[in-house]
Amino acid sequence: MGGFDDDDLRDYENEDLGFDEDALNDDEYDQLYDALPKIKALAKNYQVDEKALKEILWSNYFSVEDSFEEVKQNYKREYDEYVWVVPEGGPNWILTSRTANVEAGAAGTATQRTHGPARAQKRGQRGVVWSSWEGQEHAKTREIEKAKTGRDQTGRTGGSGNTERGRCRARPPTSSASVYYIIQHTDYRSKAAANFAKPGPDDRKVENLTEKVAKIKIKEPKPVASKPKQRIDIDAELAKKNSKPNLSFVVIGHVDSGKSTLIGRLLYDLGIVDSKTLHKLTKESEAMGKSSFSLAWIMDQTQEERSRGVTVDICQTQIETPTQKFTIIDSPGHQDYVPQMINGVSQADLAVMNIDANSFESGFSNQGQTKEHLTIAKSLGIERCVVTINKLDVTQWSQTVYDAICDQIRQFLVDELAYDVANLVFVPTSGFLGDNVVKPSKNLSWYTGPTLLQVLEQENRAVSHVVDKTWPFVMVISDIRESSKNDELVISGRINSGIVQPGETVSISPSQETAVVDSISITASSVGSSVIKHDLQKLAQEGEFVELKLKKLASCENIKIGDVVTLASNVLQPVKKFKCELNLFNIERPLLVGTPFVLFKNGISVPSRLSEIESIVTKDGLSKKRRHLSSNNTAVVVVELLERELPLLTVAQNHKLGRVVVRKDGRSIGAGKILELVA
Amino acid sequence: MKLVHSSFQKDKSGSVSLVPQDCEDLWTLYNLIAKDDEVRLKTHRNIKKSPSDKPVRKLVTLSLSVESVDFTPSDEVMRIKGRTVEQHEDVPQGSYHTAELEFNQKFTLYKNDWDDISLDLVNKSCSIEAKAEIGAVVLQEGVAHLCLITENMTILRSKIDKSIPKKKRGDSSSHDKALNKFMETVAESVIRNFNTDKLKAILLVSPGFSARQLYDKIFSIAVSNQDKSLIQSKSKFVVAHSSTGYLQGLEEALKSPELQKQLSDTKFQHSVMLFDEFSKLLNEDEGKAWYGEAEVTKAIELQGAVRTLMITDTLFKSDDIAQRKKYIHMTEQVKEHGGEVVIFSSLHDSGEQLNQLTGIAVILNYPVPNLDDEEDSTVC
Repeated sequence: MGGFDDDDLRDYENEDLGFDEDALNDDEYDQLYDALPKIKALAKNYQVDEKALKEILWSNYFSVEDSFEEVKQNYKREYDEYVWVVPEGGPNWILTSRTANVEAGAAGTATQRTHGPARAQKRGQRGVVWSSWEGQEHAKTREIEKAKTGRDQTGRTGGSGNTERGRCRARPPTSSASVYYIIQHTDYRSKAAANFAKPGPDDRKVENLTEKVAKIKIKEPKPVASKPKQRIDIDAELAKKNSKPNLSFVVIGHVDSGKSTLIGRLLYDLGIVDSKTLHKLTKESEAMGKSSFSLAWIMDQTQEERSRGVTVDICQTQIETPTQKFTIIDSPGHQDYVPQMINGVSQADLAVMNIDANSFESGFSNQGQTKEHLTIAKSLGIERCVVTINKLDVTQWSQTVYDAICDQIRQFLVDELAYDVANLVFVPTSGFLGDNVVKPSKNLSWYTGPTLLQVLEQENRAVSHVVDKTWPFVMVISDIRESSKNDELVISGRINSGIVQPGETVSISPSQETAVVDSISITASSVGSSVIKHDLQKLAQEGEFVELKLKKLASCENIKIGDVVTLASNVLQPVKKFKCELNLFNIERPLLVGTPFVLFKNGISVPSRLSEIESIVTKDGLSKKRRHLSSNNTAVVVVELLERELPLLTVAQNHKLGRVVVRKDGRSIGAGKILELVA
Repeated sequence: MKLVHSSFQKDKSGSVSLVPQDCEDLWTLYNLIAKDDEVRLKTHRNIKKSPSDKPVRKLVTLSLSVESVDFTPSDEVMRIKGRTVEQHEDVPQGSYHTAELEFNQKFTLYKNDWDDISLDLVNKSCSIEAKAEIGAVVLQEGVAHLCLITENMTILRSKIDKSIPKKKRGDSSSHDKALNKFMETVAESVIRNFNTDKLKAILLVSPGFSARQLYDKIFSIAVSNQDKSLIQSKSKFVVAHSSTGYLQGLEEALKSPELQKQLSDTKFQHSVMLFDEFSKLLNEDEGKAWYGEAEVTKAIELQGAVRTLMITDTLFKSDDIAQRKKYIHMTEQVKEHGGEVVIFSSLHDSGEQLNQLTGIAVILNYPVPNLDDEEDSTVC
């Protein structure tokens, strides 16, 4: 105890473990300023300055409670006297501070004499240190104290656990210059003990505060799932909708095979685009020296697309015949815009593969997009495919050319992509002249089959439109239109499963924003009319392309294309890693653990990387332990998303949303099915 | 970095005095300074004469025995933590101190053992020609990444992410407007973030025409602002092609022959090309490319087999001296037998990829199959 002298103390002073606010790291700094207001509130009745408080906080690892204990111990309260110092002459509890004397023994209580003489004065109020009460004799007094603070002071004076950094506090009790005399009187003693048993004024404060804190509830923005605005007969409404079924198809194919022109022709011949509009486009295209593009410009409208003569992004339009509905998606064929094409395929039930009969080879080579597009379509779950052999006008309507191309495509689709022959339909067309698109062709005398429109109508009838309304509502946002109001937004997309009605509350993952569906509308043009109608719906079901007007949004900024909308009762948690079964295509470089690639999933692309290879299925069916995958491997792997978290569904939950395509360096390298969400 | 003074003893111990000048130098030092090295530098420290005094911030010169080094490339701050090894008037020996390394401030580094890798780091970072910096913008409609590429680092300066409405039949005005606004934002950000006078080249990389559109946008802004220095550096702008607007598109563009010519003899491109060649060989599966410590060790044992040894700087950063020595020994062996040793920086994407792949790999002069087989299986 008494083995310290001035020199020792000075050593401690120089020891640089003291508090230095500037030396704190960011975390510590944050913690400090978190805790500071709290301790200030607690310690406002103590004569202690802010700097000292900071230091105390620091030495107690920013624990407000522990720090407050230390303040209580070491600093005078402004109304200190009321407990500890009884005015002169008071007969009972006399606690005086005098310099050392021997009288202590008479009082029956031993006192602790202290050594470091000048220090107490130097350190100001902190000189009154409770720890100067030492030894067994003081057990009773200490009990009183314990009762007051409700804490074990012994542990603290011993400095166990707090000593490494809390050096100031753990300093031996010698730093106190004061010696206390306690003159005890039994009656008063018990009375005092009783008094101490009650919570002290600070404790009351602390209690109040903890009570108050306990009462504070952070309001969870958990909205009650609201009911639909109208009560409707859901089954009747669904039956009405299904009387006019909707088929969504995407037109894919190599660049310049005439996809946009084919769709333009379809729309023009159905009277959805009037001759006045086409006339205007013809004039404009002639002015740019691209007169053959006039039909394509119905779909390609941006300045960039027109001047370059290629489609850049998908363009979706809906048409309605007297008995059926179609959603037509035009996709870009250029190699650079495969990402957009993937987006188009993910919204379609059927693919129309358009092939330029005139330059079939270039599209069908490994550098062309014919094979790549077909592979992607198959990988994303499209089982039925219509193949149009286009531009037959240029090949003088040759049947030989047509048959040769059909054979090659059929062989590729059946042998390499495992398509069922029964699911493939071949149609000879000329989109530019309009042969066999809507109207049968006089030039194709050798062809007796249906026109493209007739094929599509057949397909529409063949596709099952039964909607299981018990599936949860899921929709991926494909487009966002901002509204003038802050809490409103118009989102559009195709409903992937389930049904939704106006008035219901939806949740949007990954931002987890919630909103109320204000209205649902479907945009379409009827055959023979160029008017684009916006029909309000009482209900929207799986497979429909809808615009949802959302209200009561907390913030529009966090909502992005590719986000997933669900009912508020079924919130999707975004993940960063998932396990999937990956099928690799023909690749030039192996896929190594750590290789970055771009992952495509429902209209969005995310940079990702291969983070783990679990097992590789080789020819002998055995999995080989390797850290890389090569061509045509099938493997179970873990993929890590690099930039953002995404809400994902496994292939079991939704057979289309659970599929992904991966690309690297501009080539599609593989397709996968999500098996499990990891984290 | 400037080398002010160096002195080495016969037992390979010795000290160098260096002046770091840019962030790149800090990265070099991060890789150079290891645990138990001694660093002597000027640093600020709060000094209290006695506990009750207000601490005084004082500039002191301290010698620290290094315990750890922290470096955040984006903040350009490096901190060295250690204990003082000398008695100082204000700072007792053995006190902990964390010093921030500042630019243009001389410091001295003492090492017990200066190996080839360490000496190489110092020499390379002190040569001027290796200092070129390149700016790059990787973009696609709706997302753009601005980064600076130096010898050892790719630093993302800014990322712009915007949702662009889709075009619609009959009306694409909202799409056009949003796209135009996006391009403007990116162009302004390029002008603000890149010091075109200092950069060696500025790459604009995108799929389709976006990079060209951005190029046009930047110079239409430059003309309307009459920004002469920008117009003068027009030749530094290079439009290149990639399949994606994410950061990985950058590496893809670097592999293209047009850029190779323009950026020849930059280290990061060399490593991109090497890694690409390695992947290609690995795919052919003929036993000319191997990775993993065990395989590489075996390959090195076959003297003269190794054409190129690729190794990331992370492996040398190991605190375990034996580990570090082993890797250094490997590089020395390869060099001895006429092989090339390339150290990948883990702050570039290629280095990051190699890191994921055990951090060490070799390309061989001739195929050696079955390096990955266990010893006993070859016996059978």
